[in-house]
Amino acid sequence: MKRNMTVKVLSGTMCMAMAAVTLAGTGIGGMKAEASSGEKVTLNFAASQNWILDVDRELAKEFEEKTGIAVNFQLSPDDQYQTIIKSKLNTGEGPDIFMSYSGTKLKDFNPEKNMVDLSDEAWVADQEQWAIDSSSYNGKLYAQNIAGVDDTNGVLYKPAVFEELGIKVPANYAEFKEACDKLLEAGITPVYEFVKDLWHTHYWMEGASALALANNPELYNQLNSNEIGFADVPEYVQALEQLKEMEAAGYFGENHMSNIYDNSYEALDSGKYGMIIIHGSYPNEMKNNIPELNPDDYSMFPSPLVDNEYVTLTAGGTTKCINAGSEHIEEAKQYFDFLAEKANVEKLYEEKPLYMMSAVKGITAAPTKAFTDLMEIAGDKNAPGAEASVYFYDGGKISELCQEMFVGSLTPQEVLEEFDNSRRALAKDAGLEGF
Amino acid sequence: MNHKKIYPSYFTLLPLILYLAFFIIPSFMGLALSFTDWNAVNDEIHFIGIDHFIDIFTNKRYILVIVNTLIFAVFTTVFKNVIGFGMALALNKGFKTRNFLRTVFFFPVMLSPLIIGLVFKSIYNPEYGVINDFLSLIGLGGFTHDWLGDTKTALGAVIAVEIWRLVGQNMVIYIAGLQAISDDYLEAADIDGASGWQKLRYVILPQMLPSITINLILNLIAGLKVFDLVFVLTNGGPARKTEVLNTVIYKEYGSGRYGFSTALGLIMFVFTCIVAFSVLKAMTKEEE
Repeated sequence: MKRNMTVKVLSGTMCMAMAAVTLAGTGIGGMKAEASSGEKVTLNFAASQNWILDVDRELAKEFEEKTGIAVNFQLSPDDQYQTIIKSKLNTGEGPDIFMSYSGTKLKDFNPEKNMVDLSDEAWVADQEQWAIDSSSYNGKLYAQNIAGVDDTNGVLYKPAVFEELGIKVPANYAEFKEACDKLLEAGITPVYEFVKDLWHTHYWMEGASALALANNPELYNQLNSNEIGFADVPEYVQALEQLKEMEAAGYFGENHMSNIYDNSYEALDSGKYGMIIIHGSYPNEMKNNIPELNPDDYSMFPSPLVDNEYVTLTAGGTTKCINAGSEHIEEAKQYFDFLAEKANVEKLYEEKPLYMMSAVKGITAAPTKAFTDLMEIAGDKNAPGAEASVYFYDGGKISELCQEMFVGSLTPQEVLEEFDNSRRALAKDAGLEGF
Repeated sequence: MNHKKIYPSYFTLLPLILYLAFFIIPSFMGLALSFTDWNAVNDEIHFIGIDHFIDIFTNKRYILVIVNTLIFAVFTTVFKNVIGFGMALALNKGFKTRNFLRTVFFFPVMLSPLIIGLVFKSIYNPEYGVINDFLSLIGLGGFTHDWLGDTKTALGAVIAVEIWRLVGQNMVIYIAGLQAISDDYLEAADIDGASGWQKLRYVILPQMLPSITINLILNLIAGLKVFDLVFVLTNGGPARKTEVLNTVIYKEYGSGRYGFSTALGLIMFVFTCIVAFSVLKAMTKEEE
């Protein structure tokens, strides 16, 4: 009995001692972490994988050398980025800095709750007015756009190939189909479409936005007030009907349901595919992946669906925002100040030739030949797209529904009706007037 | 009964508090939130009754997702059990490479589904994937296929990966069950002149019922809750042919419709409980 008691006391003491050591260890560790975090701040910066290039990392390194504040890039796959970042922000685990498309897309991230108001920052004075407007919500500037527009879309092709095959640059849908047929005859798959990456297929529909707006100047207001839905816009319906026709005609090849963006550079450069609907800076992006490639070998024309002649502009490309819940708002502001310094903006524009229009006064962008050709063809026929102008426009959702259209589960009209349903549900939840 | 060996009841207090704090309370909070319009854009939360559930059960698109989830769960459960049981029977016999083969077949269980997904994404690739390369190599080029991109083969391709991934786990549980069967029964059956099939049907299978029950329930639950493998391989595509409940929950949550995604989560929870308890009840009755 006495021996049992001794064992119990001994065991109890040992347990207490172990617990004390464990707790002390945790405490010491915690104190160290706190001390070290007090010395060095790391800003977590979330972006889609193709938005950050070497020059961004170099600038971050220079910023760290100058201030001691490190920048840790957290990159997500392009078609997952929006979902991941929204989930993180709304579970209180958002990064210090995150990127967003400009225009109405800012609303997707609930700017008044999740973004720091940057209206009074010093660098704002150097911004072009369109860059300020496209990064603002309810009169407050919530994002920094020092980069400019980078994703105005058109159909990219190689003029040399068109010339060799006697193909005229298409000015309408009928001519586009002729071009596709000639490419097919020559053994070239006419269009590289990557349906699997959900961010892209809706470009064909969005390509008709400027035309639809020209035909109905109140279009975006009517969509935003729920007077009409996308399914009520004939240009969008026809764009999808023609897209379905293109797919059925075999213009996208056999593997379009599995194609991915990352393979597009090689697909185009190898001559296996003839065209792609893509942003104007794409030839420079190709060069980044295939150094021997000459970006000037490529040109662009406006999306020909619905006999469109307009160029659909984005509000202002991608922007950077500071998470209102961040513990390092001041450090993030320092980083934004650093990026906005003239020398750094110049370095960015020089080494990241993705920007077709400069967002900063006194800085000139170097647009690609393809982009310049596109803008020349369109002349003054350009207007903002629905993606940046209509609340809860979700290109990923439209692209996903297009998959169902390609396999015959949905008609073009049903694609738009289904998209309207999901958009209306989001708008209703958000308490938007009219929904 | 030796009462000294029974722990005092207050020992349950700490686990109970932890269980309440980290499971029961969040679950009930989730239950409540599924009846609200909680979302990413509007800070105010309103009670909306069963609106989300009406939306889900009146929309054929969500019904299709439930059907896909069921197909995935049933097919993976059946094949994992049948193949796992066959492998267990084969590897329960004494031969030199037995332990090595057991390890090899169990190995995928230890790998992350995400890693497996990425590997199989390459294997299934229509242009440079190993499967199509192999088919071409042996003169079956006509059978090469866009396995994950074709609506006819995508779900089957994902199911095949899941079976490959977890068949080893089933095998191990069945081996444990087989080894618990006393040799006396099998020897008695031999003396009575039972054939191999008769021994399997009347001696081995009845005694394997507890193992079968465990495997059935674990596989059904894993099948109904599948996410990572589908997410990496197809993300629910093409054309939603591989969309399952968890990928929809993730997408709805990502789009900011938290109340709606919570409602879907609740449906999945109830659904999983019903299936698991039904199977458990049926199998327990069989065991008796």
